[in-house]
Amino acid sequence: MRAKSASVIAQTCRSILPVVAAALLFFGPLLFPVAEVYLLVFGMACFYAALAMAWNILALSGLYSLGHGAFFGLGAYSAIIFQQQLAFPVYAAVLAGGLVGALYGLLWGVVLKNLRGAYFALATLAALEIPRVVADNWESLTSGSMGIVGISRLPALELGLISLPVGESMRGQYYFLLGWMVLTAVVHRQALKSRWGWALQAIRDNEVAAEVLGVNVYGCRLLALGVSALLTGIAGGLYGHLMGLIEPAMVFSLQMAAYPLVLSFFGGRFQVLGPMVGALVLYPLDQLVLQPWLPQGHAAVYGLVIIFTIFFFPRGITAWLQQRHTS
Amino acid sequence: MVTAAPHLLELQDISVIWKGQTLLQQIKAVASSQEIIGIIGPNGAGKTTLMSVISGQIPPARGRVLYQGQDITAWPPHRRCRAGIARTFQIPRPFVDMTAWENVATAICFGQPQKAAAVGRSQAIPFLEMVGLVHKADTLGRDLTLSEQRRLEVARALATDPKLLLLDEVAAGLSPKMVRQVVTLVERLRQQGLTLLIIDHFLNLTLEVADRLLVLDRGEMIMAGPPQEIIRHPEVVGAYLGTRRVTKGRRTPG
Repeated sequence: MRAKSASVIAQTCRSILPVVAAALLFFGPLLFPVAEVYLLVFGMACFYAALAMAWNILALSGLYSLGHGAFFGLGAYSAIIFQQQLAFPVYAAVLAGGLVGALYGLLWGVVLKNLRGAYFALATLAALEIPRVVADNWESLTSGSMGIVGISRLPALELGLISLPVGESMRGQYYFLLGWMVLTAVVHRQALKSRWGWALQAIRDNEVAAEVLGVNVYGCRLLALGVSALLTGIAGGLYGHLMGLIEPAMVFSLQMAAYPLVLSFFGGRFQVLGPMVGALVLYPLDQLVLQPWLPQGHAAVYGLVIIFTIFFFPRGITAWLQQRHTS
Repeated sequence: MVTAAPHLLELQDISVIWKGQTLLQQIKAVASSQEIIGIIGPNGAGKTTLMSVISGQIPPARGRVLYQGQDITAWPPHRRCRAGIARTFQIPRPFVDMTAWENVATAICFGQPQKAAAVGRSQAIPFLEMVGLVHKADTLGRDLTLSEQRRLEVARALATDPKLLLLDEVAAGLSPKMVRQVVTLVERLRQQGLTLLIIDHFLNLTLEVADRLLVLDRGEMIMAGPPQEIIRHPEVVGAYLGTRRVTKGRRTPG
């Protein structure tokens, strides 16, 4: 009887915890006087959560990419070039940058069609180098390895009656990134819980069985790759405006796949909320605790985190917490 | 001559070459509606390769596969499945992180020609019943025994609502009693209108149910005909016992 009531309490905690966390994310900055640094850090945590979910959408089809920096960089450079040289409105340029990333993703889908596992991962790493070398050397378009500086802040976002001052205030930026994360989360949920998500699970469980049972393996995977690249490309464009500068080594970087990989594995890559939890826990922990304490070596901690995760909760903390409470 | 209705399946001069090796050579065969055909032959004869050509995993180097009179040689596997061709694998390929009923539901959801998005547990249960797996409906694919995974293969293939069912060694390693159950199931499926192609190395199933046997040896079809005739034929006996092609014109009895 006691065990039962204990499990009821655990159950309640489990269902209340996400609600409390979500409420804090949404209303915290409105209710409490929050220091700018928290808005910055949690805003960027949302940004990386979205990046992790975008990466994970492809991973859910059973392919692990190390080259998402290609989409990120293409998105960033295209967005800035479209805006500065073709006079696109900022948000339209960012979206167009995402489409450029998606096109490159679809190209992967065709060229790397028959690669799996480590071979796919290595090929993506090579596919990341190609646009980086181009961006490094096409100086008339990209300013070469010096990068593009003085990128404008994100303009206010007009949503009907509401105007969100994204680039003007840290609070505006925070809510913008929170919204971006929620939008990505909706897509990420589809990759797990829809009919498409079901097909993706069948594909990663057993590709050959999936195809003889009527799953369009190539189509489902191509869609995952396209969506994943699109969201990563958009994130790249946003990043340029958030940072105010981009350079090839910064955006065409292994980091843009490795970091989402760590966040997804740590949070739980088969859970709707997994990559998001991973980012919202790890990034603030890193920025607010580890970096002040260990300014030189804090990045190494991510290496430890991924090793620790693989050893002790290979399906991520979200899955591990759920299992503990259900069993 | 009156143009007859097309055969359900017709293989026209199928050849498969893999890394310079000829795995199948000019296989010709037809299967009519509600026929049960056994494919037999020694190990490495190309039985499973032939099945993979029909289900679409292996593209033939030459030849055509016709299904209901249509050339499907270039169709991807999922399209053939939706058109009514289902297969099982000799080495089971369950979806390991799905329960048995979810495995079956996947087949219903994607394999049947038109299907609503949501497929529930109750729709999957009848297929598990057919193979005696209802009690394992909620067990994960990875936790089923090998023999249960084999039966799940059959349930999943049936759940795609096939017209042509390809069974790869379903009866291998089964006790005589379980073989009887498979015989009953196969007969029932035929009555429901299915055509079956059964790979049966040890002949414990097809000898009883097949209308015809196709004998493969080293990629060639060496014989076709009714089971009782086939198994008495010296060339088949030789192929199975490995005394063929030893010395010209001499055959030592097994």
